[in-house]
Amino acid sequence: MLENNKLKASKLGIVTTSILTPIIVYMLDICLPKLPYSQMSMDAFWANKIANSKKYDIIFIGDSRIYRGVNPSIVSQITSSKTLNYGFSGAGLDSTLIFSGIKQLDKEGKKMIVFGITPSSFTEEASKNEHLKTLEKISSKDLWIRKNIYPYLSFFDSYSLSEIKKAIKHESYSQECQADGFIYSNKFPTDSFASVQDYTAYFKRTPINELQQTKFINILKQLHSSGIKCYAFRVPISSPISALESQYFDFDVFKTKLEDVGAHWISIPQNGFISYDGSHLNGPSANKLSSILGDSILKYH
Amino acid sequence: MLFNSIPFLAFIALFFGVWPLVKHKNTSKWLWICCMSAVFYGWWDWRFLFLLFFTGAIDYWAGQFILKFPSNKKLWLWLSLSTNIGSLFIFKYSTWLANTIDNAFACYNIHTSFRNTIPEFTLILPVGISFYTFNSMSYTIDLYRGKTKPAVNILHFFAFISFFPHLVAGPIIRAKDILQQLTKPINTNTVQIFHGIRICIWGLFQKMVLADNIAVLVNEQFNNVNQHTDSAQWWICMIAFAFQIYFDFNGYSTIARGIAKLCGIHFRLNFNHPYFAHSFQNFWQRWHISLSSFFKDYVYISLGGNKNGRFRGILNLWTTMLLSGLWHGANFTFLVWGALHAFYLSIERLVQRQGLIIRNNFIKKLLVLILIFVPVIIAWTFFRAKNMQDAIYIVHRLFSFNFELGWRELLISNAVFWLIIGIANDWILFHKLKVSRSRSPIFQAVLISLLIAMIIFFRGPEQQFIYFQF
Repeated sequence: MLENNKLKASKLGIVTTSILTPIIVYMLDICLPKLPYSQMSMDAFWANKIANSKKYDIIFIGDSRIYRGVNPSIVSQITSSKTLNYGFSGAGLDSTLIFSGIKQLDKEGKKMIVFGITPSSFTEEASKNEHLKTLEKISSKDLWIRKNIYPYLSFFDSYSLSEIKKAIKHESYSQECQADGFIYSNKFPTDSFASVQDYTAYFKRTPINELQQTKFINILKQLHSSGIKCYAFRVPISSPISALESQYFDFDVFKTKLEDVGAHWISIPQNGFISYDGSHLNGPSANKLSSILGDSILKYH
Repeated sequence: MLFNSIPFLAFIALFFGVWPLVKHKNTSKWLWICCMSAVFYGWWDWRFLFLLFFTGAIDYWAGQFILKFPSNKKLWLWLSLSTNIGSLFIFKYSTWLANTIDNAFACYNIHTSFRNTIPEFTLILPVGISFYTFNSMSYTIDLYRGKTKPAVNILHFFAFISFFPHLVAGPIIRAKDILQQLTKPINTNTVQIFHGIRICIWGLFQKMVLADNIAVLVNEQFNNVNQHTDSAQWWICMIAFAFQIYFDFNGYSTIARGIAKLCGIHFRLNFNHPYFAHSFQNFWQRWHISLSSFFKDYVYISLGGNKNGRFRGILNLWTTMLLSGLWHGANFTFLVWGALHAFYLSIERLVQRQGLIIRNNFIKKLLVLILIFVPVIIAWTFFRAKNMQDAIYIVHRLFSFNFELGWRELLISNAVFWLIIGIANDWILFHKLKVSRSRSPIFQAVLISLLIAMIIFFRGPEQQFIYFQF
């Protein structure tokens, strides 16, 4: 009798759980604020970037200012070529990143590499290319799951308290990942001074390394001699960060060194762009920069 | 394959999809368990399977020979022990030992390169090697001591050592506990299934929500040790780590128990609210119970326990605790962790003999909890730190009483929120308050549904189980 009661209670428990769970999950989904971006989609985005079998005519290489600042679809439209954004967080312009990027080039295509130059990409810390290396360490099984299953699981993105607090305060950081390696980003409220403190601390902690620059120039020389066209440009940023970077890095001298080894320097006006945190361009500004870059590449080519 | 991963969802669906068809058929049942466990383990690296099957086969045959040739049983036991301990030494300790010897000679300006003489394949540490070698060893030792019956055939034996819920991170199971259960007909009824589901979900909640959210704070601090100088920040971090490792490992053990329960197999409890221990000895009766009892039965008691006087007892205790530290990892930090616990236990023995045991009274009880918890935290510092330098720096910071403002931000962080929830939960369960004892199926269903919703929406960034590295 007791055993029967236990069986009945357990059956009731299982049935109630099966009915209640989807209801509670659905209700929570309605009640919780919408997340500004999906972490699952972000993971899928990075997996696609690192395990991409397609080949391209033009590759943009650099750090987060590149993957948030250059929209390859606009460059592709203007130049009629297949374009990829191969930017990674905190990336350093060293052989690891550059030769990994070159693997994405179509050998029969136009073979162009465009480098986004930021002073922070020549520091010892950046030369570790930790973001790229962490992604490269992911097993092929996990990459496959991220690429093929994660895009369908954005419903299961998790919340932290800070995200809920931000949503209540109407603060948001939207990030739309595109298949060509670009992230269309926007932040509210915008603050051009937001990253000044971080960058000041960063340059004190890890100074810009002359050797890294020399190595980069040597790689460009090597690429030029192997028939790959190299371009470089400075990503527009807010004036406080621009002033800070100019203290540590002489862009005019660097430009001359690049041109001496056969690379083209694309001059970008530093005004007329909006950065949401001082160092990264917002979506519309990124599109504007991409148009300028597309036109310049077309002109040189 | 991690319990909290998408491949495991597919794996478990396949396992339990076929299980009802095979669970009543003897050979098919064993084959299914062995094959699926091989898939589960091989998911990391299929080459690891060779070692698992090699050490397993040696132990199985050693067991057979112990029974067939009892006059030589010591020889077969030694064969089994040396194979298991040898493989542990090769894969887990050889590199560390070679580095240590090289560094020791370097102190006297003598250049040696033992490290370079070690074959490359030993640099890879097979997942869960410390767990399955101990499972396997328990079989031959118990057979030698006549405490268990032999496995009916090799399939039974491999089903026991490779059964996937306990394979890579325990709990360490004894042959005498499991082999008999495996030979009996499996009859899982609805009560067991509901209970199994409940404990699986509870384990997943502990791991994915509590441990993984707390890990964010702990990892940030430990990845940038020198950047944090505030004592309060380190106290918060170390309390957080104490509970992170508890929720992480207890979560794993609970999920393992739940899955085993769904297969109709019972695993013993591996954790029993260790931070409510009233003495260090009691802490070890509540923390990682399967390992503690393994060391107690096979090392401490084998060495003579406390039968041969106080001094010998304490010496045996130190040997056991140092070995336990070394079992966790090939690093001096783990040895210090073991030594600290040996020190605490030794002091406690001496004090208890003087009759200074504090009992009853809430304030006194709380004081005892703190007196146990603080030294445990100090020991955890060595367990978690990457090297001795970091560990000493952190202990120094903990007791420098240098209070800056950074800790206030930590107090309102996501990690501390889940830490408080976790501690409150453990407190409720330990004190068996009415809410945790409710047998109403509706109440339990609501609780499970809420836990599932929290796992979906509030889980932390995915982290590997801490004990996988051992």
